Amino acid sequence: MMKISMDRLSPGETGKVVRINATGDLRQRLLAMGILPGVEIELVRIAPLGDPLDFKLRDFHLSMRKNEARNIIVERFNHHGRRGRRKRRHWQW
Amino acid sequence: MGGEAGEKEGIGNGRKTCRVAIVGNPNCGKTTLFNELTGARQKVGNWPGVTIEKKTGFLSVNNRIKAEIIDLPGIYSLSAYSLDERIARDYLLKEKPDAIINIVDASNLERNLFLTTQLLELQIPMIISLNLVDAAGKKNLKIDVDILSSHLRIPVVPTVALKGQGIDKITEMTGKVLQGEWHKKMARVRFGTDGEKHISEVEKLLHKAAERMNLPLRWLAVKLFEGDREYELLLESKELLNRINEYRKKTEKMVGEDTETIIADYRYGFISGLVKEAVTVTADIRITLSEKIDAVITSRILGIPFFALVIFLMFKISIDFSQPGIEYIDSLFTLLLNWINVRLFTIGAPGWISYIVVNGVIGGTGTVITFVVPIALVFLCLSFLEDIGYLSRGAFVMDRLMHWMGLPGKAFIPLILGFGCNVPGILATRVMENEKDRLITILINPFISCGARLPVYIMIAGAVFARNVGTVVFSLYAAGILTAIAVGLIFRRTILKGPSTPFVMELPPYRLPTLKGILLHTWGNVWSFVKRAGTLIVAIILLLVVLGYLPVGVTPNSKDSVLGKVGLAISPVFKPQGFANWKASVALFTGLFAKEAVVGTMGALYGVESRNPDSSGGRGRIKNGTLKAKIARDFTPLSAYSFLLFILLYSPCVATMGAISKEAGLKWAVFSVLFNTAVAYIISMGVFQIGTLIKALL
Repeated sequence: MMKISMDRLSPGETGKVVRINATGDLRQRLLAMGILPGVEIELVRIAPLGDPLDFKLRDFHLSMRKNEARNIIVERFNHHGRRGRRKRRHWQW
Repeated sequence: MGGEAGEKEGIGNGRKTCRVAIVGNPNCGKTTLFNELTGARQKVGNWPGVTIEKKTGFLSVNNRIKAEIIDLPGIYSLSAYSLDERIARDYLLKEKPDAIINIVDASNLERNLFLTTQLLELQIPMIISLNLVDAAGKKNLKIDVDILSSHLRIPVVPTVALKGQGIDKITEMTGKVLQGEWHKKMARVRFGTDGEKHISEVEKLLHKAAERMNLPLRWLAVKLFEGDREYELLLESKELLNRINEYRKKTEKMVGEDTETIIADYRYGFISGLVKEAVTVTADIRITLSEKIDAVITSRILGIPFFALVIFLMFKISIDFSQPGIEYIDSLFTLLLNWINVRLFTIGAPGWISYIVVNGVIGGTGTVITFVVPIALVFLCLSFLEDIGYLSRGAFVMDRLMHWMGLPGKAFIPLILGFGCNVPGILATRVMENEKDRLITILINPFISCGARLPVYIMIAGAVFARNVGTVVFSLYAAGILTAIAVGLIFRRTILKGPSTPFVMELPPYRLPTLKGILLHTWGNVWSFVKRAGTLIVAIILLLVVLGYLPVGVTPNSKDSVLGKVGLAISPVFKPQGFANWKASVALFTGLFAKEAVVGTMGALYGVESRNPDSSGGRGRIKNGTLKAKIARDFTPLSAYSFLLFILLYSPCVATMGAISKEAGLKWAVFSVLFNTAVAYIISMGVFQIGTLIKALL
């Protein structure tokens, strides 16, 4: 299993949070949003200009800049794993 | 105690007045519920000392209780990090409302209940309005309200605020809770064996402090256990803090996580358990309609064109469509002016009274009223976009570009609106959450060249630059944008320093807005503009009119008036800029009325027939040929350009001052007048001097 920072997921890919490196304000916000170790997060899409990113977790959408997402370390699911197959390429324009 | 109770009961036929706060996440239908509960009887203001909107209204609970409803800012948690959270938290803990109506979005239950688990610790009687149950139904979620209620041990009422469903029940339950007819003790989240053991130790330490700080013990203990900055500072004894921190470190060592994460984890654990029991998923929907829409309109290819289209339409509607309205109001006011003039004449009022009343009071009021149309249209558009959920998508699409300027994506719309008129642009900053970002966006807005400045450019550039008028005008627009960006970046690094807040923004599902919600929102904003910005605008116009009229007997705004004399006196100041002529100086003064008034003043002062010599109305028609020649005589291309730059950048007009004062306070309005004038002074001087130098070298 590969551990990467959350901004490096590719669109349609899901990861499982293992660690949050942020501190202070950002950490508190992320925790309040339910970004906790063990939670699955999908990168849905990247904004037209390359930043921010649109994530989906706990059945809602959260957008975050790469700069913020960099602080969240996720475990990448194997591409043939549970969600890996369900890539949403067909919804990407 | 007796006095307080007496006060509370004093209002309205012996009915008791209670205070009920509405608390909930952003985008959970909080405002809609507030509107449904209070109807049109609401007051929009600001929270003390900040520019965040405060809405209050009244609800007749039953024949014994009347409740003041306070709409707290939408928040995700009760930490002390963001201003919204601090406002909500301070209100709940210091003002101690009699009850809380906690709105929970049924279609997004887990995250919404996080705040609920914190509210449980405040020991304020609470009701849950389980809102948007229809949206949850569409997501194939079945929620058992009784299980939620029995586990949380608080009343839970399913509602669809948009359709007014469940509102009566909320009112009824609020009455019950306020009358003490709900006896269950609220549930409490437990933080694991290690956590609980240490938190109860912390509680023991805090008995006295909690009493002194007038805070619920459990709440204070948990917050300090988490390392809440604000409460740490409020704690008197350093030793106490050290002992609490010992418990904290012990727990962190045992669990292997920091306490903040542990607490959040147990809260979400509690929620998961609750949701598992109360919610049944009847069918799995992979992609919602909202997601399908987003896949198109926030996509790589269509995201920006779609946003541009939205902005274009908004611009069209608010600026172009408002023209007929403005002209209609203008003509009504002209009629009114004539009528009052005649009336004053027939009752034999002295000329100076008529002049000041007509031009100052009525003219000033007219200026305020003409802004009502574009402001109302802008807010109609903004409320619509916000309620439907597009505003956050716009921010998502534009964030990258704005980030480069040190601002969040939501700053884009206020700035682009500034090209039409800075007043609605500044008012539109309401959609921004962060105080500093908002202030910067407000303060740089006047540099964006508004529509009123265009006639000035055309007149002066038209007179002086024969062929290149288009290029000159374009360069002025560009100069305005560049100055706005530069000043924004400077402010971010100096007077409004501070890390830009982390960008973590929810993209709520699209929802159909209600006409009622949009109209109420628009009305609230228009009314508060008229009331709060209006007074300042009329006052300044009155002052300028009087200065232009005095001393009695001179032609108003001529060289002999006080205003003219001041113009004459200060004109040497503009020598380094190359336009040290008194007519230009006076025009700068009248330009404060409205930037387009420069046209009327220049016309009047250069002695050419103009329809509106008093210049407060502005849109004077000028006989072209002679005026152009006369202006061209007084300006070289370089000094004309420097004059135009000055007009672009100097003090915002009175209406904009009013808007800044309303949104950021009088202090910032004054700052803006002084700062922008200084910027204009320096930049035009630089351009003129460097230009002169280059000319000399050639």
